[in-house]
Amino acid sequence: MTETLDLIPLAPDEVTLGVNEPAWLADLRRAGLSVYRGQGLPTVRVEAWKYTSLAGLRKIDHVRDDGTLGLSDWGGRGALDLPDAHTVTLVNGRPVGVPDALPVGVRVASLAHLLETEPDLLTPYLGRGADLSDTPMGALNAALMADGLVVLVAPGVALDRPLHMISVTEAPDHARHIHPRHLVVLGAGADATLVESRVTAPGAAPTLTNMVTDMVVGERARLRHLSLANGGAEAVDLGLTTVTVGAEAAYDAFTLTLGGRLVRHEGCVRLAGAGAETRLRGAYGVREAQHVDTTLRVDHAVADTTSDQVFKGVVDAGGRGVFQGKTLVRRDAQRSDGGQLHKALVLSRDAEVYTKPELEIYADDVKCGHGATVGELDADQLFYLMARGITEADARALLVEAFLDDVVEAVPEGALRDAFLDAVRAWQARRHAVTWQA
Amino acid sequence: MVATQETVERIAEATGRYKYGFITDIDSDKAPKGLNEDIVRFISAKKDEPDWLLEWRLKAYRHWLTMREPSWAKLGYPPIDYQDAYYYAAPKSPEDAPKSLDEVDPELLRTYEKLGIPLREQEMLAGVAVDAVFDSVSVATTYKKKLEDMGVIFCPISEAVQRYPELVQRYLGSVVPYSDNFFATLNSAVFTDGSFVYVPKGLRCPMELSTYFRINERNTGQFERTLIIADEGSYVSYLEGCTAPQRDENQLHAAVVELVTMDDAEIKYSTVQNWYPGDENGKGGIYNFVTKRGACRGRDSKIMWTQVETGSAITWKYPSCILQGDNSVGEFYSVAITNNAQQADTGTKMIHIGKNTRSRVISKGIAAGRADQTYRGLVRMMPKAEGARNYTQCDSLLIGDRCGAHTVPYIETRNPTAQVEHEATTSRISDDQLFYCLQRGIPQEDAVTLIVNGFCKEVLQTLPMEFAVEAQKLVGVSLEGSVG
Repeated sequence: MTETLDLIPLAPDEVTLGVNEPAWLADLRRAGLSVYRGQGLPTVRVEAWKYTSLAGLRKIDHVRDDGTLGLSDWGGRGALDLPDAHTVTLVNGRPVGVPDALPVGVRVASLAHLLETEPDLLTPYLGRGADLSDTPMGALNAALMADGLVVLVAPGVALDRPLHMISVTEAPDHARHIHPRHLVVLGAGADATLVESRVTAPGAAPTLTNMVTDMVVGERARLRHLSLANGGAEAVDLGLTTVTVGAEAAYDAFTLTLGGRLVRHEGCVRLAGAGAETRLRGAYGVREAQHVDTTLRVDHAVADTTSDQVFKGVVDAGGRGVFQGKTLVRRDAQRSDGGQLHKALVLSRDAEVYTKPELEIYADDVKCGHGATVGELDADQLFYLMARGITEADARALLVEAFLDDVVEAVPEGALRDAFLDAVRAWQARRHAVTWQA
Repeated sequence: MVATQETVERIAEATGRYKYGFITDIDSDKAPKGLNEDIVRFISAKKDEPDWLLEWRLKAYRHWLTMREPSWAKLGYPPIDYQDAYYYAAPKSPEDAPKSLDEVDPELLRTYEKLGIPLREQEMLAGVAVDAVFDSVSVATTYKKKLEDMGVIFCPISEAVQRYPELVQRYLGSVVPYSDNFFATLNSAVFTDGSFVYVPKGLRCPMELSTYFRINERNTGQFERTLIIADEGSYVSYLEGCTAPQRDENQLHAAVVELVTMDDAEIKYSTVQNWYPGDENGKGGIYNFVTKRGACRGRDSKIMWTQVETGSAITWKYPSCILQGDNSVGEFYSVAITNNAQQADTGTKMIHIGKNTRSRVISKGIAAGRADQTYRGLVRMMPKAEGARNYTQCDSLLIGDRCGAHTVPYIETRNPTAQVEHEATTSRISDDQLFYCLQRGIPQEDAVTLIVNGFCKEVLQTLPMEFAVEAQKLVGVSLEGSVG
């Protein structure tokens, strides 16, 4: 018999996966389980999930991934092409080998391995990022997490090349649910670039990925976090990223979402030290029964902190885009600077966009604002290009690329940006094919 | 199986619905405390209402019993005991009213003075006994006569139920159904009075309709119901409330306003709300839960809401427009000021259904002291809203570091040709502006008033002239004690 998501796991004892897990981890799992049991799978009646329904998940019998699958011959399809990066591949959240030739002071390891050998190393970080009580899916992850990637960068160390994490989900036989847990810790003054590609192996049955990533950026450290969600047509990809940014430190993120049936990227960034800053950029392209939800929360916990969110979406026939962004400025977090912008381009009928940009401000000496627009391609611009002999399809593709340009520009120039631009163009090419066939 | 008499009694006891039997003495001035079906029947009987209205009230009441008080707004207040309130009280007799202004709270009079309200109106507002304001009554009667000759119906809704039952029956609850929300449903069950306006086809109502002229039914109580219908090609401007602080012994207010515009018709609805905000800790202030909604049913019709909200301890209010007719227009202009411990959660909903519908939302929120303020708005473009447009701007101004300003907009687009733009900012009074004023010898408090008035200018300008002048002064009065 298969377990439905509402009923898993069956008993508290079954939650503990490791044999000799430390007490703090067992507590974390129990707390997660009790929250998930209390709230269950979020429904659209829950404010934070108002525009994203998980009801479809109930119709599928998922089994819990048992962590035994090896890497299939998936051919790298859909992932970013970054030959020069340190690369680590994960199958259903489990690292398959770790990169060698890492600089001294950088450690990349499997979570399961560290929990078994050096659990004390993880005690100060794991599960400290988010309050489980308002994230039932995060709570479920805490209860069920089995493996993931741990990246530790020692104080003052700079990672020479980007670390490319390729997460492949596989389900050759039966629909699976997977709960990867990653942890990235940068010591004071460290510097690193982390790139993620999330893809699905061809021919996979429906998968539900419920990922949580905890990140800690130490004082004066700098973390660039770039990711591409490019899952298969039946992939459900839920991700919660919690980031704590220390004094004078910076966390810069870029998220590109192109694939997957239902993708929800939830980011919680806490600016915890004076001078901390974060720039969150992202773009998404959705079509044909795809649903992409970006939910961000930036918490200006102390004074003199800066945040800036810019997200752009292109929504084509049958697609649905959701953007929920919240900027919270706490009492006495004076001189906070918070910007937020969401722009959506609607390409055709039956496309839907839902935007909820939120400000919650408790300090007066702040500069906070947000902007949001939704509309179609500018007819004048299209006419201008077509009058110069460019076909309508090419003109549209050009304008879409131009629309996304100022967010993709957030990616450092060179191989990285090229890889992301290639992904955008591949997505556009698929639309061409669709248009032509129709 | 036949239920025993004992069971029947036990159920009756448990549900409490029929505790007082069907007959309540309708000659009494006050219904007993609490809410049950008998109170609803009592109110209806007092007003000699037709059966359909009583049925409607009862349907609302029964539905209300199944509802839960909403908790999503960013408001904090102790739970309201709905059984610990009176739902009907006859208007006070003139003997109870103060005989002259000398008997009125001097604090209140000082505020009137600051607002520049004429003496006669001061007497009226303070509720001085009728003969003192006799002139106003006759003025009101004269205007009413004139309006009636032109075909405009402007009367208490209880009177309209008697005189124009078919109009009331057709439109009452057609914009805000009895099952709409917790507070609107409560209002549907127990509303006591309110205004009814009908403007006939093609008529431009020659004067602003104001609650000032309704002094004989001023005491409409806490559950006011207003219904305004503008027939094809007509226009009406309606003013509600006044700038002067109004005291009311009832803490809970739950009003419903419904507007309907037919082809080419326009309604301009302006509100100045200055109910008692409570003391410095918000104690004793009015809880104001209002449902206001307009339906632009006809082509090229327009509804414009303007509100200046400075009073009440709690404000929960979202004047909305349902833009059904093609090319119809909805506008919402709002200034909300919260000081001390006041809380306001206010905004609008613009539902675009028809083609080429347009909406514009300008909201200015000012929070001072320990007050919290939230703009909560929805813009929804339905699949058939071809070429629809919306522009929203909400700005918040914070005065002091103990207050809060929040913005929660919802933007839903389901049509590719619809365009939506939303902008929001949060800031405080700039030091430069303040310095500039102080340097020129303008005292700090006046300078703040000046700057805040500038901040709200776009909204205040949309008010009818006399109202606008008073509203500007009101801004200053509301912010008293917030600086220095």
